[in-house]
Amino acid sequence: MAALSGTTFLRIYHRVLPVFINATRSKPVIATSKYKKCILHHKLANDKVSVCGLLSVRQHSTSFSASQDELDQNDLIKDFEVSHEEFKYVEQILPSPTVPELEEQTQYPTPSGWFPPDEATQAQQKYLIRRTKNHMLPVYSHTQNTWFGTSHFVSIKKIEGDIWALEADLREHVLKTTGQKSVNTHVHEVGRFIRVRGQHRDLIAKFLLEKGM
Amino acid sequence: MSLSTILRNVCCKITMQPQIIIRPKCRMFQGFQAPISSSLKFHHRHESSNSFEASSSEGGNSETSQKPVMTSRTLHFPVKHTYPRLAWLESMDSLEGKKLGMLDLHPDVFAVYPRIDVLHQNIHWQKMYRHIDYNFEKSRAELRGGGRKPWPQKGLGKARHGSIRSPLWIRGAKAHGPRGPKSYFHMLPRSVRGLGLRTALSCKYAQNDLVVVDSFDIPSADPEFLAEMADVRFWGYSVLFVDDTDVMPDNIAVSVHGNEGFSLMPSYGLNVYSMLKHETLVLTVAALEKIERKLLEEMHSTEKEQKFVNTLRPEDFHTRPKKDERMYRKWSQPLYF
Amino acid sequence: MLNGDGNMSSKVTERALNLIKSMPRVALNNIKPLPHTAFKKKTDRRGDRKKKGRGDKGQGARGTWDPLGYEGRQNPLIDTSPRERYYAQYAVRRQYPPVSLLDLQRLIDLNRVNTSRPVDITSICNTGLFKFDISKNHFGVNLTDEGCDQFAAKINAEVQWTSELVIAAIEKNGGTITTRYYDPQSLAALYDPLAFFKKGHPIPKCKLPPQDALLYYSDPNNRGYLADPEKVLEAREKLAQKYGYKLPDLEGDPFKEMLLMRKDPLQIFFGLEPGWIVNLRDKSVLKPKDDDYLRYYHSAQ
Repeated sequence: MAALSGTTFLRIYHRVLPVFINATRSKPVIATSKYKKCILHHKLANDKVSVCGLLSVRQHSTSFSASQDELDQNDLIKDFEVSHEEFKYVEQILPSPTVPELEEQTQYPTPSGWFPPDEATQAQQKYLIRRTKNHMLPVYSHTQNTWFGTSHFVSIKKIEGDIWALEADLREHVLKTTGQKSVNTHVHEVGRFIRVRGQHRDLIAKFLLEKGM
Repeated sequence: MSLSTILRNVCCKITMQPQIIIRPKCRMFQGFQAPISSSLKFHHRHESSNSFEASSSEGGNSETSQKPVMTSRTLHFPVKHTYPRLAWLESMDSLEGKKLGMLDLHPDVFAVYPRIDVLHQNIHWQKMYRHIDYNFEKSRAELRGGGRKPWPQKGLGKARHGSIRSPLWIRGAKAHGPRGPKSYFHMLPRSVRGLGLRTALSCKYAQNDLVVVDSFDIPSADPEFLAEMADVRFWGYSVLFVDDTDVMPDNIAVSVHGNEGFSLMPSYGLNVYSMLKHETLVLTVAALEKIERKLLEEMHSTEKEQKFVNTLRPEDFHTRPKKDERMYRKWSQPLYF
Repeated sequence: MLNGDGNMSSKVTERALNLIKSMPRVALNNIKPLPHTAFKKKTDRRGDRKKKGRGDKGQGARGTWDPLGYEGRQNPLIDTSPRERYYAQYAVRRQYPPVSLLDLQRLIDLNRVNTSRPVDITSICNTGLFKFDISKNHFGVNLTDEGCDQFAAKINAEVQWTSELVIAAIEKNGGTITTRYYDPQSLAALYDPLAFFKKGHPIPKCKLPPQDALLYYSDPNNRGYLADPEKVLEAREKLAQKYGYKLPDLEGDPFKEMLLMRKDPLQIFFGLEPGWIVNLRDKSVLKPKDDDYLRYYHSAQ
């Protein structure tokens, strides 16, 4: 494409501009070369006046910067429509402050591989691992660069119940699966978490899912 | 042995039976936290909204009938692995008061594992985040004098010195002294502060120090009345009254002011230090609803915690600030607006 | 459950709470931190001696070493080969942080994103799990192909950068995808709409892409928003043939209207025109009627 100057750019844009289904926008109009400073002055319901929109459009005259801060009464836009119907579009965009509730699905795992906790299997265990607020397992892998090398460990948080029984089960599972001779663990009884040395995150997550957590 | 040591021992020794020590002014025998057995009959009302409505026709308010009225309170974010705790709903219209019903309390707020170390963190933070150390020691450059070499380098048989204000000298400067004012401002993570509040509430509930009342409309403004009420109900020397508004009825305000050890507080002022300083915590139902909802929303919020940025400048301290109503307005209004 | 029977797992918490019932009241005078939480740093005093660990005389004691890499008057190694400008203009180049198809599918499974409406950058930001920063030149989201085999949702996606495989994965499931450019001012509103509405500024109009991005967004193979819709339909069929799947028919789809929803090139929010002002407190939208104002906000210049 050739170098686009100001006017040719617009023309090309219009050629490619297709017709869209959303018909709320009016037809494109080539703007005039002179613009006015447009300021919207809106009075809120409780009579507190605030400037809601200072619209300083590009002004080709010289006195642009000097007059930018002055609010001339002549330039204020007092003609505007207040609509409550379009607010529903605003509500669709706003975020929800808390994590939304899960919907029950027919088939598990879900396409992304997510399993919900299985209460029947959970009830048979001596311990419980609660899900995070995002409904995920609280199993995290960590890597630390220390002066004596790189250390990898997995932390399992939000443990309720017999934490030592969980530690014994984890140890047995890791030794059986990996075939290593020993595994170092750190049990924090007050903080209710366990750290297992090694890169065993997926292993441990799978083990916990089998236990219904 | 501190509480935290004992609790740590408990975790490993699951078979250990706790010793029951009867404390003076204990309300254990008044049936406050007795588990509900099936032999008692209840009138169970299902409420569609969260607001509590005391039954007028049932036995709750009448003097003759002794049937307790149970109202079910809908709990947000229910949990399945444990059960909701129960608390009596009392009235403050007389010394003894009446039991108006029983409320469900969310276990994630009122029955969390008692993390004493988190309580300590919160208390330390509350003390230190507004602490400013004004200590200031002048350096050897700032002390008066000391610019001239006291005596020549050689020939006198004396030690060599360059200034009478060096740290070696009496009345000299301190080499690395305090260079205040120094601020100890820091913000504890939101989750730790929330956990601290929940742990304090759980400890209060577990130790029978949590009372829920319908409102703070008391019949008399006499401080003696409130003191006697606290005495009769075994509330303790110090009581913290918490309501959802910061505009309180006259009577309670005057009574609390007249009693040493009693404090009156809006729900947005609830903090770990005050809860542990006062022996008993008295909440209104409105305050209970608000606090529980806010703490649960914090636990399940989608907002990532933003680092606190202090936007104060030296100019902001030149004039006395206006009364800051932002906290109350933010607390009481719906979440977005 | 009303009775005290919890799971075996909740018994430890219950036991702890029952224990403190019989203990002195938790108060300010019997609270302690966990052991080893606060400790003084032991400063290494090995160097605090007469020679400070520097030895006798010489460059070591006097700190007059040659610069690192200096090889006498010989040409140093670093100068023997030309520089490779790996990070040239990094502060100017646009960045598109990645969100994979697997992440997106997980968000849909966990009900964080509503698939009955178009999924765009705002929907992803509103989950709170992904943060974009304008000051780091994040110009939107790059939808990557990790999890393209597991992706099974029918969505109307609007992203800023993507690859052919992602487009195929989405269209195979009966969805549509568009790549769309937003300028930084519009992105400020899109990344955090609540904070933007609170400021009370009029909704900005989206500027057209810069010269080097115009080709990308006009290309039907990238499903660019400035491309010819007929050519986009052709590209859909070609892609289906290339990857060997049957292209689902949009005509008979009950969600056809939602799947074909597109924003105008100047528009940044669905249903809201540029120039409007949102009043959150009164739950209304202010629409100015001034001609010059409307001409500015409805033109591309």
